[in-house]
Amino acid sequence: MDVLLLTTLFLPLAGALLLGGDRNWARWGALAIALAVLGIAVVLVARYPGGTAPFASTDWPWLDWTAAPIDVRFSVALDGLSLWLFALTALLMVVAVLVGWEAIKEQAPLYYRLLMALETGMLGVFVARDIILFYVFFEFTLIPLFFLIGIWGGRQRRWAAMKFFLFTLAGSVLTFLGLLAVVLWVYYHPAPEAASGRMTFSIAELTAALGDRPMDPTMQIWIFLALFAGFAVKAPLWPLHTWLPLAHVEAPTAGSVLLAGVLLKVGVYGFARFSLPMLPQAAATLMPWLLWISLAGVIYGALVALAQSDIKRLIAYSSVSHLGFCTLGIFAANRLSVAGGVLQMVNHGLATGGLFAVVGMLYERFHTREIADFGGLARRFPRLAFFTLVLTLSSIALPGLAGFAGEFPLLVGVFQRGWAGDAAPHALQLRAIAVLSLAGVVLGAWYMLWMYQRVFFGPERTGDKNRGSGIGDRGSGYEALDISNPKSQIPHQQISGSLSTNPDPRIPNPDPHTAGPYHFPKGEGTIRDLSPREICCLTPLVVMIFWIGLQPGFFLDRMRPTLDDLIAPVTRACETASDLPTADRIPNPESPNPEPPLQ
Amino acid sequence: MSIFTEPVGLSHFLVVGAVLFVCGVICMATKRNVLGVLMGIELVLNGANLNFVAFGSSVLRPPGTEGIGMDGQMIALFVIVLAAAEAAVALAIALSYYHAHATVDVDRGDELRG
Amino acid sequence: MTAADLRLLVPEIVLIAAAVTIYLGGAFSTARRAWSWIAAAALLLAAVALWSQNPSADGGSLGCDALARYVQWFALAAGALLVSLASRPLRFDGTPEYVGSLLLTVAGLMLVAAAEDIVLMFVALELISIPTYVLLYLGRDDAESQESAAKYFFLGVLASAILLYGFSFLYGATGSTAFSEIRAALDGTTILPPGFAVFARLAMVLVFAGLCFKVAAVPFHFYAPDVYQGTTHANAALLSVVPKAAGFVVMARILVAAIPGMEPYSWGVVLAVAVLTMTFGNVMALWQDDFRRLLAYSSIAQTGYILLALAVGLAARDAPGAWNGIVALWFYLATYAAATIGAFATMEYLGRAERRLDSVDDLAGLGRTRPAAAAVMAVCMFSLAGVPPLAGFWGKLLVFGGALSVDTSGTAGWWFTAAAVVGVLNAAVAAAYYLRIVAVMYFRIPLATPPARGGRGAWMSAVACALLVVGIGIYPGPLMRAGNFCDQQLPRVDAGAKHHSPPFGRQKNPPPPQSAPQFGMAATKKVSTPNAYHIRRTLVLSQTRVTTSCHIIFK
Repeated sequence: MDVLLLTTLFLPLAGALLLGGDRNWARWGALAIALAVLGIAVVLVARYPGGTAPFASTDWPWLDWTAAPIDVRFSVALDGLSLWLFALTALLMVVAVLVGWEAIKEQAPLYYRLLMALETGMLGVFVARDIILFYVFFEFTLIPLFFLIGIWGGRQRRWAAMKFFLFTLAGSVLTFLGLLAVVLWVYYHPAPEAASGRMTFSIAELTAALGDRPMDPTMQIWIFLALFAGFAVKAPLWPLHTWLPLAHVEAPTAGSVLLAGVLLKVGVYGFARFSLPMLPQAAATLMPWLLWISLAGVIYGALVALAQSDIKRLIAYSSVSHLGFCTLGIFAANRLSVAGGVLQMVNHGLATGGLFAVVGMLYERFHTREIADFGGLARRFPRLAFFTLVLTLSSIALPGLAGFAGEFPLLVGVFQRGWAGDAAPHALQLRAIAVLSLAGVVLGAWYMLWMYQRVFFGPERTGDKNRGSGIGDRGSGYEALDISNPKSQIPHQQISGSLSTNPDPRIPNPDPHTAGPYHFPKGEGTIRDLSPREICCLTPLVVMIFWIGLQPGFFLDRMRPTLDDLIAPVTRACETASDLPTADRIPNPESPNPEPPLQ
Repeated sequence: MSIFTEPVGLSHFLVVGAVLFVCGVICMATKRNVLGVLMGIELVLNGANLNFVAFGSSVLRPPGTEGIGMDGQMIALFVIVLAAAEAAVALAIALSYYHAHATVDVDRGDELRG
Repeated sequence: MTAADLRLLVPEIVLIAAAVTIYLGGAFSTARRAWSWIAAAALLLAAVALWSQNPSADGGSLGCDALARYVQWFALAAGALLVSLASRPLRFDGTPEYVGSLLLTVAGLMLVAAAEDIVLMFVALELISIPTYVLLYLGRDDAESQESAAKYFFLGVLASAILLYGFSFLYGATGSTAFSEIRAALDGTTILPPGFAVFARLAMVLVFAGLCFKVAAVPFHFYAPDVYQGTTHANAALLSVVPKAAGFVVMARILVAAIPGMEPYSWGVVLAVAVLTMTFGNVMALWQDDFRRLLAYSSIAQTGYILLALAVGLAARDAPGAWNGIVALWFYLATYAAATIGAFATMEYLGRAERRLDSVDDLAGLGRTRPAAAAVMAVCMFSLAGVPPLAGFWGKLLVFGGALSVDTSGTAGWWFTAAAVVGVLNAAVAAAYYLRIVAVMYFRIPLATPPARGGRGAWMSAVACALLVVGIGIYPGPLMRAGNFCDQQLPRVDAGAKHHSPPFGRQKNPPPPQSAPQFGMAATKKVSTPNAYHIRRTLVLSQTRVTTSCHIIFK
């Protein structure tokens, strides 16, 4: 039992149950809890010994029956794969609490309670060492985010929240079946020496058991597809990504930060934790397909991002592209590529999380997210421009920043996978994928820098255009958005309710938020550069980006041993696969008859 | 030997029971008058009753299984009592239905749909 | 009939005596609120009696195995929640009759749970049905309510008749009314008269059809939406719990335990009905605006999941531990009941006597106007949707895990795997309408603050349900263990006769057989021939009911 790790799980949960009072109490309380969790996370990371043994583990029986073998445990621990994602979550939660500091006025206690519940869920996903516990946390994260999007979101928030929840749930129920099938398969094929009759749900034990006694390849593929359904929606991989831009755009800033920063990673984490080590043969067989899908996500996300006029939407699509890189690295199942993929997850969390925070800050100031409404902000807002620049450059993998430290080994690994074994049946495809993935890097640089240039450089498009457009013409609903007016954060349904009689959230109402160039409601003096709070919010991200970029070894070394363990089965499977003729690469001596399609 | 030529035995009772049961179901399905439906209920229950009595009769049982006591007849008595109880409730419901709809035509109750 | 036998009936006798007292007292007293207290006291007394029973007494045609115990406690708990839910007096005459009938249905469910005999079981089922007709009739006094009562009555009687017809063949085939003897006659040790074996199969089909009505399964579900919509929240809660529980008990007793050797025929039927039921219920629920109608379709869909568990139980009774469908059935039933009663209790609490909340839209903005009630409702909805860590999730885990663990060496396994996939996709579809309710509560502007004058009882009931749902969700072990005991003590085919081969192909090393748990009561007891004693007792019961019905009618 490890008190520190348990504290990180239960302290936010206690906060979720107990936070109350008025807005000030709630937000300070939430900040205190988030900082405490971050502090503990730092201590845990500092103490992490490396190696492959689980660290800070707690293992309690949960469903212990005398009469039945089912053995679900409350089992948590950290290892190399989860360590940095865990720390990232703790860090981004502080950011998330800070970004909504002023913006959230309505039902603030509920907001912070949901944030705390979300923190428990996200941390739990990464530390769970039991399949059921993992799934419980995996699904539980949906509930707070559903409310965060639905209550504090933008104009289409109801539809966005529903779509987000239903898409993710539809995928994850299949994952659930897949996980159960894994457990049952191991239970019915116990090791010859230890027939204890205990049905284990422990991830480590299941992985070990499946390493010793692999499943039938056909069955592996079916279970792999079942797991894929949930993780791919969550990640999200193309073409299952359609919920993501909507959810991102409609979510409140903190929701976007956490969604991009942490929750998307849960899908990729699932691939690395379950799909690859438990079903290596399927991962090897399907590798070209998986890589093509990832690549499609990279290119598609980048191309669509190029065409966006809304900054938040652009960053949302850039997430699709970047997550495509992460899965590219994971599915290539090469030592370098997986390490790069995991590090890239952390980097994406820092950079994109930070960019979403920046978008939130812009929106708080100007009530628009249209790129066309901005221009030349760098002169007026140098601090904002600086932070955004670092985040943007990290996002496009400038050497010396975090993005490069992740993307470079990732791509090297993908190339190695393509050129390693000349006899590999898919070598040509793999090479094509490796080369094409470079196009994703180029496109990524294009749309990010273009966006940055349009927003922060160029002619300053501020008051002059606005004054001509006549604010007063827009009617009283528009006036209500006055930034200095405490009512400006009144819930959106009241705004849309007052502006429109159309109850259907799917039909866009003429929205004042995005209808035109921004304006300065009370004269230009009211809009200032970043406040100390906002600097506090972005500084840790930038510091981490520099640290990872300049000293990637510190981060990679701690995750390497675990990752090597995780991908060892796939590597073996790939080697055996490349030895065989293409037509029947999958040895299937155990099932002489062709299996029926299911299982 | 067809069922029409053999001496009256268990199967004849079962056939009559089945006919009663089916008639009752048809009656419940087609009658629009509440009281007609009630009659259908009686037919259905008595079809089942006839089965019980026939199965329980030591005369009709196949050789070797005659000594099974009086259970069938007992059950039939129970069902008669239950049918009476149900009829009592049914009449109360029919009465209030009449109050609400000013008719005993069950097809007129069609307000609940969605 | 010995005193020991009678002692087994004490809880039911207490309830029925209380019901009669309330009926009679209602004729002479104008008190309106006292009746619920008397009912609550009776439930408490019955609980004490049940607790202090000596479980080893031989109950004759009354079983007192773990299943009976489980369902009896379930009935008392549900009864307490329902009495509390309906504690607000009716707007018109009939409050004492209403409360009394509620107690009778609880007593009926307890008797069904214990019945080890066809006669007793049928009479006990009627002891649930007839007071339910009265409850539907008393709940509201408008035309919709009368229509709803009439629909439920006619279809209910038809279902009872089909069930009875099935029972007649069961009796005919085996020559006995006691389950133990029916079982003995059908498991091959006794030679049936020529041609009689087909009666058992016929009986199975008819009994299942009759019970499908009680549990609202396709194709006998069509009454449910209309009846739920046309009645009150309290009645809808009752309908979605008590008859369903009774139906599943009878299914377990007859299909699983009393008709051995039928599993190859029965699981297919049950599985098909299960898949159709869940799909139909979930798809239809998507379009509903009336709250009770929506929950009616939801309860149909949930029946589908429970039937899936039953099908697993029939096809693979000897599956290991938790993955046994019968365990899943009892666990799921309890979690479903808690969440459903909680949802209806919240609705009842939010309304007031003159203005019931009927539509889903009435809940708009509840998250702001009544945050506590909205939280309770949200917990119930998430649990019904099966989102962890609430109770409903564990139910789904057991059901789908069970379906996956069915032997896949034969065709059965493929069907069950396919059913599990359809089932989880259904769960995702179902989430759409459960979430819609949550979304309406939290994401819409409040139109009007609901009066929330439904009474403290309804609110207590709702909170208790929410706590149960959360509590079971956090620590489901005890309830699963109880479900497991239910399964262990149901009679089964000898272990040697039917070998369960594992799913996923070969079995390298069979797990050791599970030893039956040492539970603090004896194994299932059997009676010899049905004797005059239980017949006399059931006669007493039916007379009580006739008297009470007449009392209502002639009042």
